[in-house]
Amino acid sequence: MPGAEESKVVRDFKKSMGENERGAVAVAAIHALTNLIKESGASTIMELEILLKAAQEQLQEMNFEGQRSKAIQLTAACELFARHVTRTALDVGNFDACKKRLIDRGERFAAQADVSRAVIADNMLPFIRDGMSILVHGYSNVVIIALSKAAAAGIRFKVVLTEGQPERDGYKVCEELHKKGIPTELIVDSGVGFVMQEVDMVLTGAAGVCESGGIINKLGTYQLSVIAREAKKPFYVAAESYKFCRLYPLSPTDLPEAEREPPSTLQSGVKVRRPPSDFTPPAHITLLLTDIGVLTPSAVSDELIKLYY
Amino acid sequence: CTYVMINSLSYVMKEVSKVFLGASALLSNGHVISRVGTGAVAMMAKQLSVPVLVCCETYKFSEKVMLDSICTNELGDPDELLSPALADWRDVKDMKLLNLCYDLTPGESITLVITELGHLPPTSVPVVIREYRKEVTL
Repeated sequence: MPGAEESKVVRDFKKSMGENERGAVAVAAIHALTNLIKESGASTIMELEILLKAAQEQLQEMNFEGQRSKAIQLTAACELFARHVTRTALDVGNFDACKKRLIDRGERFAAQADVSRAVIADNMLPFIRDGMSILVHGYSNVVIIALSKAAAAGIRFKVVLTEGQPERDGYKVCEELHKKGIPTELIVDSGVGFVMQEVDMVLTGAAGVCESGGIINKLGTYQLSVIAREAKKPFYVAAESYKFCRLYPLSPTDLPEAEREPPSTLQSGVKVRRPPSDFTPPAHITLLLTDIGVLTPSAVSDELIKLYY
Repeated sequence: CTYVMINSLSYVMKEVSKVFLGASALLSNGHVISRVGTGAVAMMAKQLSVPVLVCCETYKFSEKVMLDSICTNELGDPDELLSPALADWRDVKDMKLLNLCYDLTPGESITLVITELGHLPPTSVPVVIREYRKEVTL
């Protein structure tokens, strides 16, 4: 409803996002949900689960800045948290002890998320060698942190960035990498095929990692992966394990509601389509660099089965 | 509903948006053992980028690995393949009718496996066996 008061959960989420410049959507979501548990007067697990379900819906309905192609992370984080609640409830009989453990875990999540990124950066070091040229697409904090670490370790490499229209993500990444002294170049989005022969590997982040091992990411990732496969260049994805979600898209356009194409806009009488995201199938991805290790796409399902079943 | 002969596969596949298949078994390397003809359907679908969904209960997951459908298979009654022209096949020297029951579909042609546990990629067969059949390991 327009003008309606925002719920506490949404306010907490936005506050958390605002405070943390490099903050992940998932971290802000978990923070808001943990607060919800802390402040709720619920006395049974069932009540908590109902509250969490309602909170998840509120979070999914809200609009926030930088939302394009990040909505999937929100769903993944909420479901992960809900799963964790069920698991903890099964392990710990007593409600108060259970609630305490949930709050505890939720509060530690933010700190763990930073550690996750550091672990990924470490896992990536052996893949980057002197003289390499890396093609990067989209604005991903994980990728920026990992490349900064590699540069700090003394490895000399160059980064080629796609412009990332219409958000112009490439320019933003360029600024960040320049601060770390990493030489960069920008190429227009349609020039990816043109530069593919010159680069040694392709690296992107992911908004969400699907059960099949494929990823949902900024528009352009799919075509990048197809060209990389054709040119026989490795395609690496850097993603934290809390981005793993139980989706299973069947094709590059088979995306969940939140990530779907918005209605086309009209520009001088011409319909302009701007889908925010696409799905890259697992066959096009060489390896996923995560905080639980360097995984092949088929290992994502392994992790999800262990977590959810 | 449209009923077609399997020979028209390449012709109809371009009108298809999804393929649903059953299975007799799923092997640990992600390959599918199913009624003969399944392999052809799945591979044609893959060729035309049509998603292939296999519906299979987890009790059909096997620790076995097979690379082709010849080493282990079952023979059906040869008379099932009879047509008027072949009625006297037994009198013809060196002629045999081969009625194979099963064939192997490579895991790469399968997009998704639907089980009672949820949807999985075909590569997760050994994971399910490991997690859910702990009592079987010696």
